[in-house]
Amino acid sequence: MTHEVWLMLLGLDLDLWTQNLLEKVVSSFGQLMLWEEDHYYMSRAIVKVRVSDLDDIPWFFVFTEGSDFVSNSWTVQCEVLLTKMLGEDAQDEDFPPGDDDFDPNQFFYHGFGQLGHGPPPPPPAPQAPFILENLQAMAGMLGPINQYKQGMKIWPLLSSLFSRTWLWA
Amino acid sequence: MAFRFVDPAPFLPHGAQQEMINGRPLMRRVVIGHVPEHNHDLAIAIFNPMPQGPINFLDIRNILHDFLRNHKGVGYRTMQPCPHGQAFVRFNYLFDKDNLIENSPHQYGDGTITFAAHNRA
Repeated sequence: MTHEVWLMLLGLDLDLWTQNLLEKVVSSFGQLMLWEEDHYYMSRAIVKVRVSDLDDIPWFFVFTEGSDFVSNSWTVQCEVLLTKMLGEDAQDEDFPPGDDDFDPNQFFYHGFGQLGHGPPPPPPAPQAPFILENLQAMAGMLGPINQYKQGMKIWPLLSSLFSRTWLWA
Repeated sequence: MAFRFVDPAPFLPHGAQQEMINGRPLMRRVVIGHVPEHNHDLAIAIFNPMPQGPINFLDIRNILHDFLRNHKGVGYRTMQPCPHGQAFVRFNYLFDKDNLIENSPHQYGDGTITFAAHNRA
C-alpha cells in the first residue's frame, strides 16, 4: 500500500451502507480503514482507504445484485478528496543526555509549549540616581515610626494595671 | 442502471475539494448479491423543469415543504440534498410515500414533482 485516500461515494444507495459491502467494494484496489456513516448526509458516504496505486481507483462503481439473469444494478460515483503518501518515516530518535549531564531545571519547553528554559526574566528596575540621598530620606521617614513604636510599648503595662484594678474591685 | 456524472461540488464536505488523478479507470463492477431493502420510507423528489442556473437547496426545501404540507397534507421527517434528484424525503408514513410515488407526476405551479423510490431513481 502506497497511499492513504479519503473517498466520497456519491449517491450510494442507503441499503448498501454496510461495512461488509464497503470492504468488498474497495477490496479490488485497496483496504478499507474507516467509514463515516453519517445519516445527516444521505447523498454521500465518506471512506478512508489504503491503496496500492492511485490510478486504480475507478470513477464509478457498478453494484450488481447478480443473483439472476436479470438483476438490479446501481452506479455510484467515486471522488477522491484527499491523498497522503505512506512510508514517510517518523524522525529518528534524539540522543538523550547522559545520566550525569541531566539538569532538572534545563527545560526544553516551558509554559504552553514555548521554547526556552523558562519565561524571560523581568526587566531590571531603574536604579535610583542618588542612593545616599535616598537612604537619608528613608531614615527620616522611619524616625517618627520608631518613636511611635516606643510609645506603644508603655500601653501594655498600663492596660495590665487597669485590668488588675478592675479585678480587685 | 442509470449512468449519471454528477458535479460533486454541492456534496463535498466543508473545506474539501476534488483531487484530480490521471489514468483512473471509468468503471468497476461489484457483484454484491441480494440486497435487503430497509429504507422503505425514503423517496427522491424530482422537479420538472428545473432552472439551469445555480439554485439554493433552501428554495427546493420551501417548494417541497409547501407541496407536501399544504397541498397534500403529508408529513415528513427529513429532507436532504440528493445527487439523483432534487431531494431525499423521509416520510412519516410508508403509505404516503407509496401513494405519492404511484400517483406521480404531481402538478404543482408551472411544473411537476415526481417521486421515486430511493433505489429506483
